Amino acid sequence: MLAALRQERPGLRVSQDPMDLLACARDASTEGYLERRHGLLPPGPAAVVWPADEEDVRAVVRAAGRARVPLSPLGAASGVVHGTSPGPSWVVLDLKLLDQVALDPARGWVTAGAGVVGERLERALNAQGFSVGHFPSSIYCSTVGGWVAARGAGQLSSRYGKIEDLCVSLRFVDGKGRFLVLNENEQPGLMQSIIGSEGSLGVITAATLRVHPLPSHRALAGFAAPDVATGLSFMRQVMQAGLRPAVFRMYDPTDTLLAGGIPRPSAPPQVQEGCLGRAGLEDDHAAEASVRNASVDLSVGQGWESRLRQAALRVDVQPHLQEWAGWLLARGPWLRRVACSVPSRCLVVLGLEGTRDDVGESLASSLELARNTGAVLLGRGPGERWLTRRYAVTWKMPPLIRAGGWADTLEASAAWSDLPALYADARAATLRHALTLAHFSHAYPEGASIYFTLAGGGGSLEESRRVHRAAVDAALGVFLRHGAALSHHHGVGRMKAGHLSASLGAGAAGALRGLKSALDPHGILNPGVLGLGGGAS
Amino acid sequence: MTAHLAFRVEDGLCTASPAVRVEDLVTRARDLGLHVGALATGHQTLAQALAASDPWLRHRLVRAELLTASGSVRTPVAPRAALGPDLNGMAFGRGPPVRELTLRADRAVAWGAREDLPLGQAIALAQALAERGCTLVELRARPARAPTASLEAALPRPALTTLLAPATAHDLPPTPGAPVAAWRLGWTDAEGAWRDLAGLCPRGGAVQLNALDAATVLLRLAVPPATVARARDALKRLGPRWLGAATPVHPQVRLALSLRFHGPRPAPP
Repeated sequence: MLAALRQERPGLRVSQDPMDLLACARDASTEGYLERRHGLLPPGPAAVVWPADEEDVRAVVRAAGRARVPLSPLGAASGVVHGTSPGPSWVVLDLKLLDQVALDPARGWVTAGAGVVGERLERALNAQGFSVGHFPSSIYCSTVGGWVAARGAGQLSSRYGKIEDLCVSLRFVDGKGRFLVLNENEQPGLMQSIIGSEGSLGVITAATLRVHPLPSHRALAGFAAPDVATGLSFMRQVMQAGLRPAVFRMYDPTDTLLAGGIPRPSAPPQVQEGCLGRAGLEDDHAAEASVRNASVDLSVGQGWESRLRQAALRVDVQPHLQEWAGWLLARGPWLRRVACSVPSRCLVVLGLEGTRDDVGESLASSLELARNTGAVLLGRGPGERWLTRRYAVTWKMPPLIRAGGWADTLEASAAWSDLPALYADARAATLRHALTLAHFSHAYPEGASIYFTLAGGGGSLEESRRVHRAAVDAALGVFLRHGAALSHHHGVGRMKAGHLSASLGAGAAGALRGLKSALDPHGILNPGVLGLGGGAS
Repeated sequence: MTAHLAFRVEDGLCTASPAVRVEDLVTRARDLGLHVGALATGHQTLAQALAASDPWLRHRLVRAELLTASGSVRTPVAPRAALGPDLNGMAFGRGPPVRELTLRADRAVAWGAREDLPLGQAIALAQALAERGCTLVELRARPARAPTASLEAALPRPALTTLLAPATAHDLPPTPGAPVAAWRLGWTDAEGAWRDLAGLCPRGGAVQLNALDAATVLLRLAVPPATVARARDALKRLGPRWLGAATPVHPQVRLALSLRFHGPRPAPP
């Protein structure tokens, strides 16, 4: 296949260098991290190619189809559901050279190549006074194509929507090398079938996304809710009052504790110039600081938990912190008992942006709803702290894995009235296996997403794998029993594929297979994700 | 098929069978202090809106339960699932039989209305309301009669009465005929597109705008049946101007999808 391809597209970049193959062998799923920590390097694919334009993509797909070689489209491999896992005979189609960005300011659209990294896109748009409004915590290590392929969400999705809401049109190459442009008016159903297809139906080459003028004003506020139910009631009432906060997150009691507890009230929230979206992207120093803070910044809050933590931090903590994390997680049962007995209060963070009038009115209405529901205002401190650390989570995994622990995240979405029981049952089920914390975010008028973090540690690779899988299956089982969506923005990959039919009904597999056979008749595109096998070798 | 309609007010959701009349849906929602994003759609029943692939319904749809050749498909009652391709899309057009739909029904604590607004002013007001979180803002005009538009909006919180003085909720507006087409556009294109469509409108025809969200609107053109074909052709010609480059789906793909995606319809019981 590669020889024929080199002949057809002499300029195409191809590599079989072991380091290149290793670099694209796995995504950021916990399973892959665990294997690497225990010295198990994945075999990697047979080759990696870097198409420079859509014709290159078509040529690669046609050649793979003729040779029945499976292809794994690749963005930045920051997925966490085992969606990138090429076998030893596969070819990886790395799309990072498809990096064109074209803004149409009059129409309010930007067309970006599938390989454009999120941070670069946002910087380019910010320089011209616009923003996509899509800020995943992986913005430094995820691409436009990856966002679309996984139905991703950004931290400001409650205001700007998820990627499926932002997409105006898509360009993609199907499994037979046919080039298609889909838009939301002429082929809305087909466009929404490609969004979320995780590389199994076609190779997304570019997306046209809505952009928004940079907001002129912002406001941040924090609240303490006496318990999860009260906090959810506050969030629901804000969303159903038509308020569109850019950021709206509630941390459960354990997550609140780990974030430093409920802080003392700080200065009252106020309408300020500037917007939330740009924060953290102003310069490279901010990114570096974000990485540093991810490892060591625990000196937040004023509660008893925080004071205890600060006392510990008077020593030079960095060399010891990773050891502590591993030591703590290895004592799972003890840690989980502590987690179950923490105070029940929850920290809520609210961020607004828009015009001065919009932000002012939204802030006043939100404060009134907080008073009515029993959420106590903590001032603007918690919101400002969240803003400075918003991308930190992306960098937390490697130190934890090095210290002998593991963590994974699962995000379900459900209607408001289903959320309290879903949270309680999933937490109870996963605490048998792992430390469990959660936050509620990505709020909509009809419901919200719960983002669970599961963490464990110690033991052999087999033991870690067994406990990890048991914790994940326990959570997914509860999601299914409650009729919740198994994923809000990570996607399905291979990790959740076995549960898809139970979630969507017995007919779903047939419908997905129908799409697969129509668009990828040779079965060469990322076989295995979404439970869709392939006919390729 | 029998019609059933039930609301989950706390969640802002309603569950309906396709046989439910749109007018009943709108009226019942209003009685409960809710709305479903439009007052007039041009469709008699939800089944008609599904068959016409109405973007209003697509925008509102949270969950669908369908009967395919290989079994039932039941998407979760949950916002914005990331579970692969959007199977709710199968409910539209020539899809498999739909047993039940779950739609968003948003809060309306008050209603407001304005009559005879110049078009530019009406669209600016509609956009301002949508940006503040109003999810039902409807502009209507009969261009052959007057170059102005009337506006009706559901207000989700009392503070918005500063933008639009409250009014008694009107009777449901008359539906002049089945909508010929409904186009989803950005706000920046709304006024120009409205004027283009209004120019096509014969006597008796109507143009309607519904705010979908802060970024997009839906424009409907309703004309008498005799002018349907002409209007449809004109809309096709106008389309690329708003939508940018689009290529038709390869006929082979379209055929394959229609055969394989939907599958043969199961035999009636």
